[in-house]
Amino acid sequence: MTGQLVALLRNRISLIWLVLIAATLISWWIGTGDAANPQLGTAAVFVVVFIKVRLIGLYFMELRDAPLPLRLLFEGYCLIVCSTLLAMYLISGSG
Amino acid sequence: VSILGRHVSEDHFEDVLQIHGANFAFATAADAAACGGFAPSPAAQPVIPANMVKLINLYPNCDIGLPACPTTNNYFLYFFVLTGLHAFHVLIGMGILIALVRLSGKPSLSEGQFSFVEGGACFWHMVDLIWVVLFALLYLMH
Repeated sequence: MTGQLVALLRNRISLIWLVLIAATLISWWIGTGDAANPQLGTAAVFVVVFIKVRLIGLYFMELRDAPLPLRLLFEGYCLIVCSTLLAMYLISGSG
Repeated sequence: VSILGRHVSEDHFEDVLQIHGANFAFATAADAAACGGFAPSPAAQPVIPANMVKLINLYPNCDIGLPACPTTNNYFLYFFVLTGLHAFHVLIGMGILIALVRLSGKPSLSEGQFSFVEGGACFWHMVDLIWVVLFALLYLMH
């Protein structure tokens, strides 16, 4: 039983899952805390969120082992959506 | 601001408080008279400050008892549309997951069934991925 549990935790996908939980707690902490600079905090939350999105895509949707064009399309999607959201948020906040 | 079809300047609202789960705005007697003079709700009357006599429901489409609804403001419009659409996808995903549990009990899968398992798992993770983004947009943004 213990051996099975250790084997499960050593599994790469379980490790990624633990990383995702940690990222969730970090973004929750940044997002709900009284940050000195709320705008910077929100920008940090977006970056953490899209790192999570990338990990889900690569490991859980198995794009890591997909043909290169498909993987690049997904990586590009993460980058473009994240930077567009950040730009829209920062521009609307300063305007 | 338009209240019950009447146009009122933003300055006329001294304060906005939540009473019995609904959103109301207090106005001074003169301002309330200027915009039609609505009678205060008896239930809410005791908490009205002395210099604020009229009570106007800012969001007449919200049922009493609901703290917010899609007509409350733009944030709640997006909140309900996005979480509602997402809940719909979660329901579809759960139906697919039930089918996947049944398929996983089979000793061997046909090529089509195998594709369904892969596609179904991908769909579920896409729903998951979208919630990761929606959660930050709806709950964590400042």
